[in-house]
Amino acid sequence: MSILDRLAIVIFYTWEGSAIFGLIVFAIAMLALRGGQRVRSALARRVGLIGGLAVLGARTLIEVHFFLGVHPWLVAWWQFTAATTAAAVTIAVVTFMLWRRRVTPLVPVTPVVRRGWRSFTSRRDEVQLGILLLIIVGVSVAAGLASSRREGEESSVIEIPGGGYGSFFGWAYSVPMLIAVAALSAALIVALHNNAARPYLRPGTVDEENVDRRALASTLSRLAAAALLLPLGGALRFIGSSGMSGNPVEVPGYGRVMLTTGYQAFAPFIDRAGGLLEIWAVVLLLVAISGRSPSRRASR
Amino acid sequence: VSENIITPLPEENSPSIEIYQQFRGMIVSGQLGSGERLPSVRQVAKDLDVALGTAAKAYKLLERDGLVVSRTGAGTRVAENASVLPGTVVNQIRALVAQAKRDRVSQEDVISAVRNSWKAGA
Repeated sequence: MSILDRLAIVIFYTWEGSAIFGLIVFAIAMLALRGGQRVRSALARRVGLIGGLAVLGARTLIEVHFFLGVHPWLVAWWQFTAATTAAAVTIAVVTFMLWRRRVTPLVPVTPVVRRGWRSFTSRRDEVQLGILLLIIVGVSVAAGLASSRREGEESSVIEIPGGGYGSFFGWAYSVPMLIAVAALSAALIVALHNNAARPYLRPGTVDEENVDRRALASTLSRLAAAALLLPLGGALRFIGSSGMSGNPVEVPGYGRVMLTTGYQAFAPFIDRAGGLLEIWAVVLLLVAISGRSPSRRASR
Repeated sequence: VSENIITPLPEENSPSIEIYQQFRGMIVSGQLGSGERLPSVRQVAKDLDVALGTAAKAYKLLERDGLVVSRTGAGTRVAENASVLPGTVVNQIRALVAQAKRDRVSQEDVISAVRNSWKAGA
């Protein structure tokens, strides 16, 4: 057993290890915020706090459920949709709030440029979300195609060459995850559009209102990114752990042989990449909850 | 272009004429560049708190004067040569102003830097 494996056991299977690990993640988040400014928009701060807690809460509830559950190793489809759904619901509520807060301009401002859902998002956030979406779709489709279907069961296993099956991130999990990701993407686009399309109060407040809109767009994008990273990290950890496990077979005259899925060499890397993505997600959520911006020049 | 502009009659002093005049001013002064896409009729109506039909009527007047061109699917764009500046330049100016405001650089400093840069042939 490697040092990293021992470390993973200490971190994930002892409460002291988890607490220290949590503090390390928190410290990384604080480092990310070093030099950052308090987000000026009160709405953006509130959305960051509520949304961050909702997504973190959804993820924590899964852990608590499995910790208290009879079958702690059971994998369920909602594990891969809970955080994304929580973010989608939060963002949908923001859309509703923006729609309810519809303001009548005091002094109408003639629009010069078209304002759409991308008007107040930063290029960095757009690229981050685009790459994450591509990876999620790629991983889901690749894993779905690699998965097998045992008689009477959903596509949730992988065939082990030489005989037997192993639990795997098949269509049974990836399809619900993709549906939740599609719902989150739709909710995000509608919220960003509503944020941009609101009329300005008066000409003198346009600059200030633009700052607020950029702050809200940034918070929403960060929440969505975290809500994509969490299930993606979980999926990769699942795929990685499936690759590391095997099916013991007794070979007459030879002894016991461990049959594996065929990607055992890469499985630890996939597993650790998943863990890193989850840490990244938690850092993003802590940043959103803190109500501070990690960068002074986040938006264009 | 100015020869083609049909000035609306003074008695036609309605919200749609006011919107038409504002956009005409923005196009002729170079606030909107040639080839640039105008905000949607829905956005104009929402921002100016007027009915959709009022904003649509203003756009029709602009189109009638040859200041904008409407194409299905491509939206309404400022006609070529209608503005003193091309859309690409106007976009760059807008980005420069936005960045300068974010970095709290004064208007005078930016204008002076642009003038010097122009002189230096950059």
